[in-house]
Formats: sequence, structure tokens, C-alpha cells
Amino acid sequence: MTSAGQSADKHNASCTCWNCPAVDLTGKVDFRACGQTREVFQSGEEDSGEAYILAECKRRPEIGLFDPMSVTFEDCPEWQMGPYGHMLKDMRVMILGLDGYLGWTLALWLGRQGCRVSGVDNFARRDWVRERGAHTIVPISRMTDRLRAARDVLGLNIEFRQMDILNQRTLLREFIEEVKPEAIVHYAECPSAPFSMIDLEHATMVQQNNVLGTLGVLFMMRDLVPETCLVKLGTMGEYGTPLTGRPLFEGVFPADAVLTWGDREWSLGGEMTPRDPVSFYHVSKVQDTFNVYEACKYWWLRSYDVMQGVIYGVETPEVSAAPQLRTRLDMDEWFGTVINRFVAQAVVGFPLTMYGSGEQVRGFISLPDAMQCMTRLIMHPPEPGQYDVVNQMSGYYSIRQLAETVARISSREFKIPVTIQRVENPRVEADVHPFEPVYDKLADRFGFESQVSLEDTIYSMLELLTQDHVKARIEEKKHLILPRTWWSGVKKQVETLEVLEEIRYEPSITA
Amino acid sequence: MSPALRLNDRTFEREVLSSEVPVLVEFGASWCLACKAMESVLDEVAGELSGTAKIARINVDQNPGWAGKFRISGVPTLMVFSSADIVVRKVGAMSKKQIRELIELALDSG
Repeated sequence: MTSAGQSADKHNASCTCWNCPAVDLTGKVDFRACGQTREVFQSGEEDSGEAYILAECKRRPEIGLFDPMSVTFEDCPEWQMGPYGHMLKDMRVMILGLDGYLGWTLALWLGRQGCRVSGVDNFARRDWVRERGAHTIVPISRMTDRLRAARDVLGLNIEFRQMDILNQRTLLREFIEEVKPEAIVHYAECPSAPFSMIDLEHATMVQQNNVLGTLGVLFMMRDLVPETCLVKLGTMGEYGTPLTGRPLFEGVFPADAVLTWGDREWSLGGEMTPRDPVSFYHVSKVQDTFNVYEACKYWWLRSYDVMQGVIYGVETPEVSAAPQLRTRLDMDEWFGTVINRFVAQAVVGFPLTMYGSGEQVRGFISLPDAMQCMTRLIMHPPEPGQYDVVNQMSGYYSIRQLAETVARISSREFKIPVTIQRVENPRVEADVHPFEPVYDKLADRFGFESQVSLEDTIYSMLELLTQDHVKARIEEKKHLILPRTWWSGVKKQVETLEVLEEIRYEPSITA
Repeated sequence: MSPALRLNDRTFEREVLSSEVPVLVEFGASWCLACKAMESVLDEVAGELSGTAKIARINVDQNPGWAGKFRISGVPTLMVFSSADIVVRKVGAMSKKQIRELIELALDSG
């Protein structure tokens, strides 16, 4: 158990075999749902030693059975101090969705940290982007070339299998059985709100892929690796932006959140907070949240549900090490996240387009910071049956602030004049709203410290995106930047979008 | 600030039943979201009442002995002990104010 204020590398020092995925729990393991009557006093065996849960180390079976609380990570020779706390030696981590923007980046990142990385992908993301006529503006290699470069440049052997986790469950089951992963990172979902809003076919595909894909993974984990933590990617968008202005807690209410009704009051502690998704994609993520939560409750699975802020950035030490190791970067209306898209727009002189007022506020996190968070979560596994939620973001900004920041750095540092426009908002969302996210847990309990600033990340993106070969790829697809997917279902030509306002930045004389 | 005590079946008798000050014990579990939500407020109350009362937690899965004896059938169950007597027993999540009210029952009667 850790608490606030512990140093960043000590966050998991006092975790015990109770948390460890390399331990089988045996003895009196009493799988039951929360609140059901305990068996122990009915059977009258409360004084018997057999009533206790015991640990058996899968890595060191010669130790025999022992009290799972008796050995801490700090004391265990299998857990060695690393840059992100104690790290399980050669930890087997399986990444579902290994070919994606995050999946590939994390595979290399964890590999460099000493993990044995395996993973699967069906290359759906490449297909979806191609279907829209778009492409990644930073060129990426085929998987065979990626894997070869990982081996040749970084010395990493990544065990990859091509498969669809929804439609090829037998293959996934066999792979999990073979690898016996000690953590599973689940990135194998379609991550686009606009893509899910195109039409019925796309909404159906996104919800089936995400919800039913995840459901299959949960059943497989129950049967094959119940001690393994599922680190599941959700989104801050699951919460929406409630107009009550209440804080966006980390998934569940704290005990001091109190409901007052009449002259009575109740602690809401431990109740899931309301979700207010803002697209059919976000609905799929909310459904996932409840499926994962239920699986932990019914089967003692362990999971961190990661409510990630809007991601941005393109550099980590590993993906920048060679052109074949680059991760994708999308700027089209379906797969381009806002900061990535703004930077691409700036580079080719395309006005930065804010939807609606531009006053919408969102949480954000950079690519390397997200990788750090994921590593810390993997190395600090939950307890048996523990479902926990983290809000994974390092700051929050209005869209206008972001546009202005990108414009300022582009014009002053790169001598690119940038225009900002407001265009009609194709989404159904509050343009102006309160926003009070709570995002303390990763820092307080897992030792997360942001390593890169928004400004520095935008600067490094501009350095890459202004290179001729990338700039040419942005130019080629810039007709796919303006939104054409309307939540209302209305079919409107891009040309009819109204330009509401312009702010023009010029390169400063001293720049 | 001293956090809430973590009890086990071996320490329960010494820390709770033989305690010279009232003790509030939360019977909880790893999978219990309400128990996790109460961790920080239990730690806070423990710090505030240091010397006058003890605040403690015990995991019922790891320690079925005392949970069985008290027939704990739902978590979180909060019990306040004073001189080995049970002063009050409640099931469900509680705010810091409610936790303090429970322990103050024992402090007032003592």
C-alpha cells in the first residue's frame, strides 16, 4: 500500500505477493461477489489453517506455500529497482493493438525497460484510415520491417501475431496460453468518435469491435490468467462534461462525496460516477468500463481502467531512433487528435479550425507521459478483484488556448504565419461548460511526474512535421482536415462551413 | 500523520480487544470499491484522533478468522470497540463526518 508523498521510485515498494501476477493464490480462495454472505463462518472452519489464502510463486515454486502478505516487492529478488519503481524482471507484457499509435510506441518503450513484449494486431487501424482516403502523415513501416528494426536498432525481440481479437478468439486464446502474460495492455479498439458517427455501419462496427472484443478478452483472462492485470484504455470522454460542474472524479466517488436529500446524507464512496458519453464510440468505452468492472467483481480479475486525456505528440526515444521505428500520426478529421491536427495544419498554412466557440476544455497528455503512466501502472498491479480507475492526463486546456499556443510557436520559432478560424461544430456537445477534472492518483499513488511540457512537445512536432517528406504527405491529404461527419446526420459539404472569426499571427520581428 | 492501522488475525486481539482506547475497525476487501474509497478518510481520522482512539482496517479475505467470528457478511462493515465491547456496527460507505460520529459514540460513553 502506498500513499501520497512517496518518492516516485518507491511507489510500489510495499506492494506484496498479494499484488504480484507471478503468484498463484491457493488455499481458501473464495470467489464471490461483493456483499454475498461469507462461507467461512457457515462451514465452521474459521480457526483452521486451511481457511487462509496462500501464495505460490510461479517463478520460484521451490519456496512452497507462504503468506502472500509476507514478501514485499522491495524484498523480492524478482522485483528490481528501475526508473519507474520496482520492476518485475523480464516481465511478460502482451499488447493488444500493437501496431497502433500507442501500441507500437509502448511495445518499444517497455522493451527498452526490460519487459518481454508480445502482441497482436489485425492492422484494422491502417484499413480504417485507408478507407477514409487518408494516411499517416509520418510514414510508418510494415510490421515485418518494424520488427526487424526493433531487433537491429534496439535489440528487442517482440513476439507478434497477426490476429483479430473479436473474430479469431481461438488464436488469441492459444497465444495467451502460450505466453502467459503477466500484464495485458488493451489498445485494440477503434479510437474515433467521428468514425463511429459516420453511419449505422460504422457505429455498429465500432461498438462490436470494442465492446465484444473486450468481452472476449475478459472471459479468456478468467480462464487462463486471472492473476494478470488488464490495463484497459478508456477515455476522459466517458465522463462527458456534466453541466452541474461537479468534479470529474477518477471513476468512483471518494468517501467524502456526500449525497444530501431532505435531512439525510449518504456517502457515495465507491459508487461508480455517472458517465455521459458524447458519441457512439464513447458509448462503447463506457460499456467496456462496466464489463471490466463486472468481470473484476465476478471473477476476481484485476484491472486498471485508464481514462486517458486527448493524446498528442510523436516522439519517444525509441520511435525516434530510426525511420522504420516511427509510430503513426494522423491528422484527418476521424483519427487526428486536436493538437496533432493543429500542428499539421500550421505546417502547410491551413487555418487552425476550432469547432464552435473553441471554449471547450479537455484534458491532455503527451505520448511519452502516457507511456510513463502505463509503465507505472503495469509495475504496480492491482490486488485480487480490484478494479480501479485513473484519469491519465497532465493538464487541461481550452481548444482556443491550444490553437493559440500552436500558432505562437509556429510563427515565432518556425516563421510560419498561422491563421485561426472558428467553424461550425459538427458535434453535439456543450461549447461552453464547467470542467473540473481530478487527476491526482497517478502522481500520488504511482509516482507519475510529467517529463515534457506542452510547448516543448509542440516544438518537437513542428521540427518533424516541417521536414519535406512529412510536409508533402500533409499537403497531399489536407482536403481531409475539415470535418464532414455531422452528429446530426445532416449531409453538408465542407465548403459550406462558416468562417466565424479570424486571428492572424505573423512571425515576430525578433524571431 | 499516522495512517490507519492494518490489522491481521494475529494482531487483532492485541490491537483491538486489549486496547486501552476505543478502536474503530473497518472490515474490508481488495475488490470493494467503497473500502478503497474510504482508505484516505480513515487515514485522516486516524491522524486527527491519534492518542484518543485508534482507527484500523482488516482485509476479510486475508484474515477470515475474526471476520468469521463477527459473522461479517458484507463489506465495508465498520465496528467500534471499547474495552472489548462492541459499541456500534454499521455496513456501508461512510464519509469522514460519519466515521467521526461513530467513534465519538465510544469516546462520549467512555
